Parts: sequence; structure tokens; C-alpha cells
Amino acid sequence: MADGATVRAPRVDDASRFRLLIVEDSPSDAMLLRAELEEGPLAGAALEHASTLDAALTRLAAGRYDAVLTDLGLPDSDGFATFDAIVAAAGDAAVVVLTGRDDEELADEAVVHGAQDYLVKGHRRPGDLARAVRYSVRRQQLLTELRLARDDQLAEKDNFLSHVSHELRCPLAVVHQFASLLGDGIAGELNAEQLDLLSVLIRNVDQLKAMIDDLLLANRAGRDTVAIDPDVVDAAQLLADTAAAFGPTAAERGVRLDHDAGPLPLVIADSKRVREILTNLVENALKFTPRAGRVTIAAAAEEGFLRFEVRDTGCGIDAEALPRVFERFYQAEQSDSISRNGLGLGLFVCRDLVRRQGGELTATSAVGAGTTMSFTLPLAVEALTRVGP
Amino acid sequence: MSKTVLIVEDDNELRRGLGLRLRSFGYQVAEAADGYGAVSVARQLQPDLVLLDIGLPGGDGITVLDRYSQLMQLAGIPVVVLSGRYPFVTEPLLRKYGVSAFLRKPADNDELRAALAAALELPEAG
Repeated sequence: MADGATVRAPRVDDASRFRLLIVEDSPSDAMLLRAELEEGPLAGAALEHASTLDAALTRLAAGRYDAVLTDLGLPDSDGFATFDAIVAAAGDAAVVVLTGRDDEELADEAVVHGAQDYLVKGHRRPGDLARAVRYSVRRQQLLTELRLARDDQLAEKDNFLSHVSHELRCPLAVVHQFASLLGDGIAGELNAEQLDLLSVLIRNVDQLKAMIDDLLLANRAGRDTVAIDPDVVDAAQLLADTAAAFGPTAAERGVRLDHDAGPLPLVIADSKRVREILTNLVENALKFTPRAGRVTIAAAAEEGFLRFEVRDTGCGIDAEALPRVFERFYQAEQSDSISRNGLGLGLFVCRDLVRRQGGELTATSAVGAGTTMSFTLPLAVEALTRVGP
Repeated sequence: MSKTVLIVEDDNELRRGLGLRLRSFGYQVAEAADGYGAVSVARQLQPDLVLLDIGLPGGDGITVLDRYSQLMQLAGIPVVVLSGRYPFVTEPLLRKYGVSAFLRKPADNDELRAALAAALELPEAG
């Protein structure tokens, strides 16, 4: 912001150019406010008046204000309900609460919840109102600037990590390919020791790949910035697509990949996120299932929800580790047969995504008996009834 | 007779590595460094499959595919795509561009082999 590179909503430092909304149902109080504001530093400011909450919300929706001065007792709303509605509609405008002597506690509460200040009717000195408004506007502007600057920085960080992740993949792909070409004897047979050294190289390249895969996930995990865009989703299509996407991988690992092929009820979810979740779970299942094993993707309706399951016949998770698999950065014990570890973020992010769509993600497992990852999503019952004849 | 794969890859070393790898799978290989080169090579050689690296950040790769499919007018030639980004694309969309598989870079060689064979509808060798 310092270099003024981005233009935001124009800052009005000159109080005489403020645009104010007064929300007050008592005509005499409203007149007194106007009189006070028309003298002093706010003289010349644009003053608008609404005497009901409804009228106030209409004006707030239609225009941009620097400050809203509001009484909380209105004919169509009272107390905190008024306050909540005004703050929700005020956007970047500073909210100043006008209160009677008896309501100071309420007004104090309002400041804790987002009002910039409160003023007690009939107990103001000349100049108090103007000063309160000017400083409230200034403080609110600072809050807005901070928020915008933070959003800018987060977007920049996202772009940077995305860019870095993509750039790293290319040299990584080259190292991986040439190491494996050597290891496969394309440029001549290697002796046992050479193959051994090369296997260390390749294992670490796999590790790098997994960590880069997680670099983007790490950026998103723990922040609410991944948008959930709910819609009516055809779960059967998602199962089929996931199974198709992992077909080649499963085949080459010698693992049988099954999925429920029948029709399924519609759900309310973000299809992109559900694909991510299914991809993550199936990837894990394949990773931990040995040759001749099986991974199954299934779904069945329960009360109000569709329950998805990814079941594998892999090595399983022991009772002690099971409650911890959803922890951020938790990773399974390193094993020689598992070369890709990444940063351990997958299930943490998946659970967050499921919850934000109104469901829950759980795991059941036992050592040597395989694992079942299960998550629910709300059924699109309303959508079904709307689609009727 | 062995099949010809056209590798479209702008990184010289990766293109070389992929070429060696695909030859080890038993394919004939043609190379191009970009879409324009790919068009002229494709017109001369009529490849059986195109291995296309679209590793571009941003978007979901569909815009790029659109550009390539128009550029190459390779209707009917299967395409296997290498991407730097994890694709969450739908099967109908894949089919529209004749894309048989999406592989994430760096591609696992066994997955690459399986994806190429599947795209060419060959029984997997070895």
C-alpha cells in the first residue's frame, strides 16, 4: 500500500466531505444531531436520515457511507438485533451507537462487537459528537486498510507458492527421469553397488515430489480461504470419474480398484472439493495396499446424508495412531515399502473440507486388516422434491 | 509395426529424457518444443499419439488444451497430458479434447507406460 500501487475506495480525510447516515426514530433527537453536526469540523458533510431499521438497511445497500450513527431502539427492531443488522450491512462504514443513559451496558457490548464508539444522549459536551465521528471513521478506515493489505499479501503468497511448486516440478521431472533411465540400464547395465546408490537418489526424488505436492496444501491448510461453492452434485459420476482416474495406477500396482456403479442420490456439496477428497483418500489407500490387494470406493444413503467409503485391504493403522491420523502434519511410520511421505497434510485438509460442506470424516482400521475412510455429505432432498413432475 | 508418439515439451532435457524413456517402451518418437512445431511435425508424420506437456500455472489447463486442439486439429489422435497441476477435470471434458489421461509431473514411468498403452488401446507390454 505504501507505494500506492493499488487504488481502493477513496479515502476521505476531510470531515466536511463525509457521508453520514443517521438512524434515529425520534424526530427531535434527529434534529438535535443534525444541528450539532452542521457546526464544527463536520459542517458540509452529507447527512442522510432513516427512522426505521428497514429504511436504514435499504440506504446502506444502495450507497457507501463513512459512518452510521444509530439508535438501537427502533420501531421495527430493538437492541442487539438492530446492531447486528446495521453492522452486517454497513460494509466499511464506521458504526457509532447512540444510546440513552439506561443502555450504556448494551452500547459497551456493541463496541466490543464492532461499533467504533458510543455516545450517550443528552450527556455530550459541544464537540464530543464531531470528534467521536471523525475518529471513528479514521479507525474504521485503518481496519479496512489492514484487511485489504492482508488479503493482498495472502494472495501474493498463494501465487508465489503456486508458481514455485510448478517451477520445481520441471527439474524434478528431469532428475527423476534420468536417474530412472540409468537405473533401468538404458545407457548400459549397472553393477549392484551402482544400482544401490541410484536407488537412494530415486527414493529422495520421490520424497521431494511428495513434499512439493504438499507445498500448495500447506499453504491452504488452516485457513478459511478455500472457497466452498455448494451445488447439487451427482455422486455416482464422481465415484466413476475417480475410479477411472486411478485405473492405470491401480493396475500397475497390482491392486484391484472397485467402485459402486449404481445410481446414487444427489448431494449438496462442492464437486471440486469432493473430487479432491476422493482423490486424496484413494491415493492413500493405493499407497498403503500391497499387490493383490483391493481398494473399493462406495457410497450409500443414510438418514439425511450420503456416506462415502474408501476401503482398502492394506496394512491398516494401529489403535494408538488411529485417532491421530487427522492431525496436521501427522505421518505414518516410515516403512521401506512406502517411499512418498509428503508433509502429512492430506487428511487434515480433507476433514476440514468435509466439515465445511456439512459432513464428517472418520477412519476405522486395524493392523493387518485394512482401513476404511468414511465421510458424509448432506443429501439434496429439497432438490429432489423440486425436480418432481 | 511400432507406434509413433509425438512428444510436445518445451524443456529440452525433459524432452530428451521422455524420448529415451518412450523408446525403451518400444515406441518410435517424434519431438516438438511447442504447439507450432508440433503442428508441422504432426502433419508430416501422422503420430499415433501425442504426449503433451501443458505445465502452466493458473487455470485448469482447459484453456491451454483448447488452444492446442485448435492449433493441432488432431481430432481422433489420442492425447496424454502431462501437467504441473493436479487436474480435477471431468471425464466428458477429457473426452471432448480427446485426452486419454492426465499425469502429474514428474510422471511415474510405470503410470506413463500404462497410460500410453491404454490410450493406444494396446495390451500392456511386459
